[in-house]
Amino acid sequence: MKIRILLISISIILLSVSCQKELEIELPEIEKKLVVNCFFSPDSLFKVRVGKLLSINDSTSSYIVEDANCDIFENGVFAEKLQYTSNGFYISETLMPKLGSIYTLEVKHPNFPNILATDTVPFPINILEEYFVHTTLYSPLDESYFHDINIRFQDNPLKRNYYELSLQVKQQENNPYNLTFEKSNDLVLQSTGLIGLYPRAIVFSDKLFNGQSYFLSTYYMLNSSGTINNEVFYNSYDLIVHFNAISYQFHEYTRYLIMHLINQESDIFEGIGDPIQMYSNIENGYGIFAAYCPRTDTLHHEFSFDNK
Amino acid sequence: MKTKLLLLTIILPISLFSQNITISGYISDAETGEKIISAIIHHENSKNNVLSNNFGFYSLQIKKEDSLKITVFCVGYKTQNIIIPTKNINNINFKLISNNKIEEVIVSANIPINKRIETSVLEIPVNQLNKIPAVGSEPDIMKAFQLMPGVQSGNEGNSGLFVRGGGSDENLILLDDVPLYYVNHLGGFVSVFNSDAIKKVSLIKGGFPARYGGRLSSIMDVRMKEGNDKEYHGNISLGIITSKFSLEGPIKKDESSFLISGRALVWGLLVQPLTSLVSNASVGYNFYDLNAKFNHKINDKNNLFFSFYKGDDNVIVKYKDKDFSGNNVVANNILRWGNTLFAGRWNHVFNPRLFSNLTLSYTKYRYDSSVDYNDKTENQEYSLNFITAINDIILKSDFEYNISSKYKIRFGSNSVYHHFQPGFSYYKLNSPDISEIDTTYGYSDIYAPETTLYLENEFRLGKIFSGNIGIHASYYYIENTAFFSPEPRILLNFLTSKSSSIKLSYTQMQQKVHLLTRNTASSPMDVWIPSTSNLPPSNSKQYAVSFNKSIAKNNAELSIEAYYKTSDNLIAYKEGATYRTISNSWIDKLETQGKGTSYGIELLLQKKQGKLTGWIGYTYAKTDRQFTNLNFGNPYPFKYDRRHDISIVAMYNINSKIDISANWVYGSGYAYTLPIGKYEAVSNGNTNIHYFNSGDIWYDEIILTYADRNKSRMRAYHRMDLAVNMRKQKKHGIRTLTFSIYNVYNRQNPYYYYTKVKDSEVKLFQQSLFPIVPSISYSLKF
Repeated sequence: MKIRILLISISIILLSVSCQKELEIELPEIEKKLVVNCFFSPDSLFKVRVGKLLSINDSTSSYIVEDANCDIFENGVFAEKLQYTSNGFYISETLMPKLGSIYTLEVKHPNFPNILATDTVPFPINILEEYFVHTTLYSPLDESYFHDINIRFQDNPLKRNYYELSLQVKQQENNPYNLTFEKSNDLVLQSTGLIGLYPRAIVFSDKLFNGQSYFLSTYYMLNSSGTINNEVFYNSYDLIVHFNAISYQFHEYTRYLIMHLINQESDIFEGIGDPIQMYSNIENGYGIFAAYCPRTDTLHHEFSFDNK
Repeated sequence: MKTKLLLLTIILPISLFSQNITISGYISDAETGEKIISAIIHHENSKNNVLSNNFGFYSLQIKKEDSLKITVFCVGYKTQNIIIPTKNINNINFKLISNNKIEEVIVSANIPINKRIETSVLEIPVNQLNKIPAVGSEPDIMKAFQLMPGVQSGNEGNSGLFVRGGGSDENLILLDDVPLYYVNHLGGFVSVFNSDAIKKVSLIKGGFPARYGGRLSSIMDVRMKEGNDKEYHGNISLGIITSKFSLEGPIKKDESSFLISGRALVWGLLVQPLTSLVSNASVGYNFYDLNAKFNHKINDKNNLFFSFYKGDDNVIVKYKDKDFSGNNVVANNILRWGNTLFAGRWNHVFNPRLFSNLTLSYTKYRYDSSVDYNDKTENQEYSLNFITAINDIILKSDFEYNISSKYKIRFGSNSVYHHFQPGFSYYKLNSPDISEIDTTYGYSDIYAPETTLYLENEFRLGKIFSGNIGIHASYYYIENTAFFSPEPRILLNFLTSKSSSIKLSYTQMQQKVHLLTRNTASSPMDVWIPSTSNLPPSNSKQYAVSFNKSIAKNNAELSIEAYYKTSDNLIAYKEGATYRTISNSWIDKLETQGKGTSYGIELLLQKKQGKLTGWIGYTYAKTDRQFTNLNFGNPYPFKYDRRHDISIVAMYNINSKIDISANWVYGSGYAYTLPIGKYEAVSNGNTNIHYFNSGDIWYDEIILTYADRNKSRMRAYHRMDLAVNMRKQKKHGIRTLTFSIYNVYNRQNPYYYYTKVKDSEVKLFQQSLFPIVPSISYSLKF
């Protein structure tokens, strides 16, 4: 990030006179394909959104497909037909995913090819310890205050496991807001290559600690609430820790989504990279049908002066 | 096929050998003592011509009964005729007098193109290089070659070379016979070569002689000046990009000399204090190049040379402030990348027919980033360093044996000890609150020896047939795996008339190092990785046929060349992979075993002599890549595939004080991947994958789908540049003022395309880079 800032600063003259121009081009026809999006977790109803692929310059058509037929199969056996509600959503009336079960979604529509997707619900994470340390690092380069979130958990050695971590802060009656992962000295998180992309959720696998009890420690950035008599203080807040077990499909989709969206951005120095085709596990279509097992904990921070 | 080649290489020396007397020596500039490359030594009786080699050495065989009338000529020098009264002589050193004192020494081959035993060779005399209009009036050999047929520049402003469909890492860049791994400054806008220190440069695109190897697509051979061994001279110049100086002179007159030349981005140094005035953080960037050469003549048979080059780019961010507790904290973030090169060379003349060159050298490229944070009050320290490098120690021997006036062999060996540092990080944390951390992680160093042997047979049979047939064989050993690669090299030249010829060539090349880099302008981090059992060396085969004609009494030359090249075992990043993503092996991040195909036709009409010089070049080319996991396994156009490319470069000397120059380039559009479709993505309400929108459960993002990879084309690129050089004899030397204008008619050329939402629609936009850029530079040569 700093190099980019630097290059921008030394090339300010160049930038000030370079220019952008809108282009008009003819686009090829696109295939007719359905788009299905569904994340499902135990003890929640299935909620599937069905849409369709649009041409990039189509600003009038709706993404939503309202009259599709959506069936869910549990471990290969028909379980329930989803009912359309609104805004493209199809919801199960009673069916809730169970841990370890395999679910298949079949969507049919006369104007589109039939689509199929399958995933398995992962088991919850066995968290052994979870705490945070306030103000462990002040980075003058970033002009930011960093605090530690520490989680010790036990990985299941029998299979490859995938995890997702995201953090939210809730101060008093305000709605919670998400934190980004800007810095981490944790090797596993660094190995994802996502830290530099400032994601609001980070996904990783147990490739580097398979079967072990792993101590995950990473920074989150939260600036102080102000000063009282020149003393820095932090108002009380809740740190909401979402630490989910996720499936391989969930992991890949999230990873590619972060990179895909970043890749859509561009700047004068980076140009625009080779496009990243979005991951999908939908046969004959686009989107995602992936399972996760959520775990949410709330850690409370009382009003404090800088306790560094 | 290979057996026949081997037999040919053995039989030819025997069949062509005959008894002659041999005269040898050096050709040098009378004023500076600088050895002259590619001067022609012509024997009147036999009409035989030989060229001085890269060290100015020549060897000429003459029949005993012939008279000894010899003519030596070279473009830019007065011709020297000599009739030697006695035949009891075997060493003659010629000193040529320059035609024009106000000009740079002109070095150029002037054997007619149809008679030269080489093909696909591009050469730009250094004096022309300094006249070609350039951004910031900064002469740049890489950018000059980008104006030649068969060579693409990649993105605008980039100094990279993409030769006949090859990648930017497929060029062997040699500085005094030693490879340089990184050749860019300022994110690619300036190359590392300081034209003040350069004596000769050539680029070989095909028909590679057997003495070269190690890369798939091209060889760029850069020779540094040796330094004036008669008197002291220097040069200083100020430009809007760099400032330069050079100094050369004798250490002992006629025996030893030195050259030292430096170049730096000076205004970058000023940025740091200025930024510190407006912020607690000061940000600075600079780069420099330092070239030095020492040359010592022991006697007529022995010469010693020492070459040195060091160049670095530096990005420095410093921060001083008080933290929230009022403690003084200091933080530094430093990025450095560049090359270091040493070479010691010994030229030895065993006898008038056998010339040798022994070189011991070291070359290193490294990228180093470090972050240091220090809070002395709290006794807290934090540092994180990342280093990647490649280090080579090279022992190279080359022999040139002139068996007869029609037959010469070159042979030699090249032993390289590669030391790869693919990248590791060093992290240290000292703090009273946290247990000390001191750890290193990343990839282990890798060592790989490589040995190469080569043999070239350069011959002339009768009046119409000549050629160079050779073999380049390498042995490479890494992590218990050995690779052996015999690479035949064939070049045949058939004279079709006194002024024209047809040349045929076939070459195989192998490359054992691969570059991981982003194909964008800004990335300073190049990571070189070795071939291994999982990542076998890349190979290429190239066939070329050319028609060559010398025209206008050898004042100009025309070549039309067609080529077909295939490559295998190419690599590319997997979609979405980045180098710093840690995994068990970098192989996890790469698509391997890719294939490449490239073919095209190139036309070059070049005029190297007279008041008007320059060239017209045209290229028609097509380049594809194919990887199993990219583009659904189907071939797709290479990113820098360009169908048509035209360049017109003209330099005109109005008189000895003023010259003007202009160039115009046109290139059809580069390939890019066009987004054609879109759909909504939905992320989990608990995870808020990218954007947070409180109160909702579902959050929408727009995902793009793409047409086939690189199937679409950007708009065409074209541009005109102008320059004028005005020289004046001053009291202390010759002053040159250069005015140049880049992109005269302010064409908005495509740099890249991107999409963005405008008026609720996703639209395609073009980003341009350089508008019209006027510049001025000043230099004083004394």
